Amino acid sequence: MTTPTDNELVIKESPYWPAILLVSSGLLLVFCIWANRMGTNDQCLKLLGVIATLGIFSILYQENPVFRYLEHIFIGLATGWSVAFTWFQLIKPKWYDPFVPAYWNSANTSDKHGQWWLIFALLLGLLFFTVYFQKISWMNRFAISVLMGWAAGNAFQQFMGMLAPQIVASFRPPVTTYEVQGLPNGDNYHAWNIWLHPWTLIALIVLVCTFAYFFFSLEHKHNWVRQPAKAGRYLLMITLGIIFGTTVMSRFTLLIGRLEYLRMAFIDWGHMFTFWISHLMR
Amino acid sequence: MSWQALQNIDRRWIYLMLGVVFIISLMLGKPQTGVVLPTVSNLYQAVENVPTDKIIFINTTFAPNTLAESGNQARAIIRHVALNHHKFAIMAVDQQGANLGKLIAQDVAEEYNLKYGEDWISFGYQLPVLAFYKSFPKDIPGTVKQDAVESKPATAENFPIMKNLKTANDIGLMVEVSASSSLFDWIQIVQPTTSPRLKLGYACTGIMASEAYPYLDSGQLVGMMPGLKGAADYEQLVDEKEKLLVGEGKLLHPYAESQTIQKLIVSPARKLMFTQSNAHVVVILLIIIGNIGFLVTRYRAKKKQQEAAE
Repeated sequence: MTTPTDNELVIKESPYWPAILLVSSGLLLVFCIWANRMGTNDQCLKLLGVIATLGIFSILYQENPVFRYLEHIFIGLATGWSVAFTWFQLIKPKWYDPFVPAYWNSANTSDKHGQWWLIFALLLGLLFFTVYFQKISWMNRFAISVLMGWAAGNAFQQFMGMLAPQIVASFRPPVTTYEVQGLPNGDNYHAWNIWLHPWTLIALIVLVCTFAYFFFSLEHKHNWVRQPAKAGRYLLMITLGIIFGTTVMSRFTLLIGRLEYLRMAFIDWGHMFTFWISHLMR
Repeated sequence: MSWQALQNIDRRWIYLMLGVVFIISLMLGKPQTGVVLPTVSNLYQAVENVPTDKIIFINTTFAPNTLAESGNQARAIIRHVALNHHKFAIMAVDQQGANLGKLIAQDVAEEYNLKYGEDWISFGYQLPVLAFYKSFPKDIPGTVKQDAVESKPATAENFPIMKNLKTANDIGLMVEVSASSSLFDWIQIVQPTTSPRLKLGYACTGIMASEAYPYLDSGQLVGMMPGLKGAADYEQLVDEKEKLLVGEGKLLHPYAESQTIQKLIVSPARKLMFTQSNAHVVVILLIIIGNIGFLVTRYRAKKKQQEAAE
């Protein structure tokens, strides 16, 4: 068995594809409008889901126009939906409703109206778009500087907030004369009032070895640097292997989720088909 | 036989082989009962330890593509919270996750007869910007503004659950069910500003699990549900608890997947985990086959070189 080369995988596309896909888009649009007006039909939605899933899976065989079409539909739908969702769930209740006077707002979802000072948020946001007009493009620096200044000021706090507990956790003593709370069960060994923490010791060794691998200020020719650095390289490889393993596991889960969807859809249609046949046979 | 061929199997045969294993396993599959991960037990215990007057936040920051993992995780944890009679809030910093979280919560609430606004509430989508994370711990109703189901201002007059929800100190536990790096915003920005420190649980996809382990050791996370395995383990613990409650007569019937959510999450995580385990066996076999091909080819090449040298 041989692996096909890239050239073999490229198929010559029919010139009719753009027309077919354009007609499909039109039909999809009509279907969506119809479904929206008449109420969603579970079976139709299921059929669309199955077609889209199988179309996306077709990339497993080879690159093809149906896959590309569905990929763009998915990205377009997700983007369009997100824009609408952001307006109704975020911008409208948090900015538009409080901003406009009460008599403008028919929904009346906010308890406070006419907060005119919220206009400054819009003005600051609009400054970003001045980049498209050469004469006033310098104004977008205001908006950027406000955001950059704010982000830079908070970066230090965030850095310390995240890493300070990590640093403290890295310097746990492997042997103590007192019991340490919060370590895994079975970790503490009690003998002559001394508590040993083997996992802490292992963590310390791994930490030092990994540091040694990335410590380039000293040439790795002495054994006391080279050996820990070598161990550090193997430990890193084990870690990367674990990350790769979990990545594969996660990808499998996504596939299993879709396959289960397909299986349930076909089972459902099978039941419907059996019901119709038995109905006709009566 | 060309041993070299074992290293160059056409990827489409591998896909087909895995596809067959997946489909047969799904058809034969039964809920798997495995050894529960310690990180999952810790998260379960953290939920158990939350006082009933505190509210549990469940952040559903994921999209439909990770429903098999994240959806099952969210469902398992909401079921647990509902069984414990804890009040809970759904929130997300992802638009699609906000909607999915709400749907899952509605489904579970229907099963356990929970009342919206009293037992649970959905705050929908929140923009993941610094301003949100800064103001959230100090003034929750003022930050989230309104709920996502009835689109009413999130006040105690509209929703009784809001009476005990003012600041982050009213949150007993926050579980981030996430398929993105949203957890780090809570760890970096919110957790250091709260006293006592906001308790965070994590339900992540399998890919993200390895980078979250250091936060468990440092106590920044109280527990973790990694990927589908985590969801299956948590579901197992919740099923056991539910069985106990049904046995004691405290619950009328065990959880049944209703039609509402069946379109989204069609099977329990434990059943999907059975399929995943079988797929792992196939992958391990393929790795062994590939390595046999590599070792035999190398041995033969060496032998040939030696013979040529002689």
